[in-house]
Amino acid sequence: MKNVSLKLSIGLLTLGLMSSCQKDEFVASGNGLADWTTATHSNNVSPNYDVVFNTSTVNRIDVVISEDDWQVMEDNLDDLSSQSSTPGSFPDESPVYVPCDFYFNDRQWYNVGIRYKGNSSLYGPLSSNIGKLPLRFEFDQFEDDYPEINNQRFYGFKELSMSSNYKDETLMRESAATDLFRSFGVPAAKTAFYEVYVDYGDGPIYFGLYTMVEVIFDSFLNDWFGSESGNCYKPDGDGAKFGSTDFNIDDFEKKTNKESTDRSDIQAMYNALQASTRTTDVDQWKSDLEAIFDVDGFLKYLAVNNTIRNWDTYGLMTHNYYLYNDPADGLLKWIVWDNNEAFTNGVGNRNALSFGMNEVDDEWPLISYLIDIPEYQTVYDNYIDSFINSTFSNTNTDNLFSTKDLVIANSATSEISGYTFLNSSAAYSSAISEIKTFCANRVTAAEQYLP
Amino acid sequence: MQTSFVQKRTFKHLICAILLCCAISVVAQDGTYVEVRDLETWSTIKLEYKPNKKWTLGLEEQLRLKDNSSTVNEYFTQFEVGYKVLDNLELGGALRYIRENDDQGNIQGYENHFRFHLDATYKYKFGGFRFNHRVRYQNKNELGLDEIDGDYVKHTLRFKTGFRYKIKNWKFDPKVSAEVFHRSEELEDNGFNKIRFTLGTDYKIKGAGKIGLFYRMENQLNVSYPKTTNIIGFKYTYTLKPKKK
Repeated sequence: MKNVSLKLSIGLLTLGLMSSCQKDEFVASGNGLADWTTATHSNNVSPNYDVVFNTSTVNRIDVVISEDDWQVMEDNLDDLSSQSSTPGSFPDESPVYVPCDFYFNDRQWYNVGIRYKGNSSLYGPLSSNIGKLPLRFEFDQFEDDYPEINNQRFYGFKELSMSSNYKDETLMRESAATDLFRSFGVPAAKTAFYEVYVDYGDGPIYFGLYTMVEVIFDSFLNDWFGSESGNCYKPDGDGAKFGSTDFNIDDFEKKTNKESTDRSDIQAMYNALQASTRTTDVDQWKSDLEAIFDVDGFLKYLAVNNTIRNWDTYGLMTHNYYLYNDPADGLLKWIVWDNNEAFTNGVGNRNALSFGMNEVDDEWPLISYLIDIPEYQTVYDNYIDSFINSTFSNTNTDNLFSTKDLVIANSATSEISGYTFLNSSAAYSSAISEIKTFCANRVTAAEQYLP
Repeated sequence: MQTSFVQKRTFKHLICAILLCCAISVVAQDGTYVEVRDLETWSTIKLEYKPNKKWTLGLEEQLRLKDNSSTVNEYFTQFEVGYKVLDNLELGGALRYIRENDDQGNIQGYENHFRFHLDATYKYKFGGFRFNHRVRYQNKNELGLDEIDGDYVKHTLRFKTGFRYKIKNWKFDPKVSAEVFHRSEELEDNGFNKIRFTLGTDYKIKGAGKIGLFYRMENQLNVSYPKTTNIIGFKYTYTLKPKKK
């Protein structure tokens, strides 16, 4: 009897332990989500540029955020904003993500991560109580909390970046500058126009016309370079100058291959740039630099950037560019980013760079060192000449702005008070005329500069 | 004999085909695995000091294992104090320094957390039963991070009720309890998020302390795929008392 009890106890204990053991359950992506389809939501399709970056129309997205989550976003923004000790200084931390429901073409995306993004375009409008702030979406940000949205995508895109067209009464500087860069062969993300409506408890509010910009490390690398396995960096901070005084490898944030801390390619580029051979053996210096950095691509970028006076980047500001180590040739390549300040002469004491760039000191060596080399100067000049006689000809730029005007005019002039940088509808029209004139003047200035 | 051999081969092929189909269907489907059950082990050593009838001080070290009790989940050191306000009412509090093993995501390793809690327990007897009801406020946060890093304080209210049943001439009086957790934390879906049921017993060793053993079932609440954690707990407590003069 005792033996039977013992056996029974052991049996029950074994059974209990077995039924207590670790168990994983497979949750299919989209499980229980009515609008989920492979083409629209899954990670098994290539990015659908035709739908998401359709430049012939203004798309509309609707975002629904719970009141509580909206409050979290606002409180977090207040916290970050209060950290800005001096005007123009911004916190290092990114704003927090909260979940939202995202609607496009009568279809829902579920528990999508939404957060504010940006620096001056984010913290600048706060003082004037303008709610049209740049946004970022990540479609699987909350997949740990909601396993049914595992690897959720928006027509193949994992992330979307929405620029608010800050301080831009044309609402097309970002888009037009990007188009010009791309047309001339300079790596730049695709853009498209979107009306953004946000409902955080009081019904949908028109937050305004946004420019959606492709996220560099999401889809752009594959689309432009045909790969995404190389190191991609988003430099930010004084180190981004590559100057001998402030160079700091930690200012080069990795956006791909994050699991490895290796940034030897950036260090190699810095070493080549700052090598003493620059003054003792120029050919060797050029050869060493060209072995790690796509100098020709950079000079092409400089030619376009200076012609369109896109000042909020290298040469004046220590951010707004990416570097990609292209596995195809092992060269670090320049990628432009954030062009909403293009087609302006600068702001305050920050004047856009002149064509000759003689005002740039050696703390910006990618400009000052390179432009000191006559062969590089010639390449740069030739690119300016080519640019103003092709992509940037008066006819082309007039067409570019007129076409965009036709697409966005209604959405732009429908923006509402508190969610716009426009003073009036008339201001929009006159800004379009001004930007066309600005471009024509830049062609004249380039012709005067060229030898 | 021949028929049996053919049948065996056919059966083998059938099994292979079924396994292959299962494998293909799993590979073809996009999704993720969610842990819905685990078996954990919690082992505790506690030193208790009762300077008088009112006060109790305690210092304990606990190790928690997860993944079928094969991996360290966390270990902590806790200092606690209890004060008997009335015969039936006791107030308590504790400070806990926790080392949590984060083995998920890109950045893994041990994290430092700090927790404190305050509680009130009401006890009374009814026949062979000794009931107890406890309400506890708990505050937990990761050290070295702040709100700007997305780390917010986790506030938890816990409501526990239970009883011990006295069985004559039996050293293993059973203890039963249930406890619900109500979480309040920025960025989280707040509300009741966990419930525990515990069955256990204590065994006093004369002059050498007390050994406790329990089985606990913990269930997540208000999530799409709730996890059930089965916990086997072991606790050794040694109590120091001041020498009687």
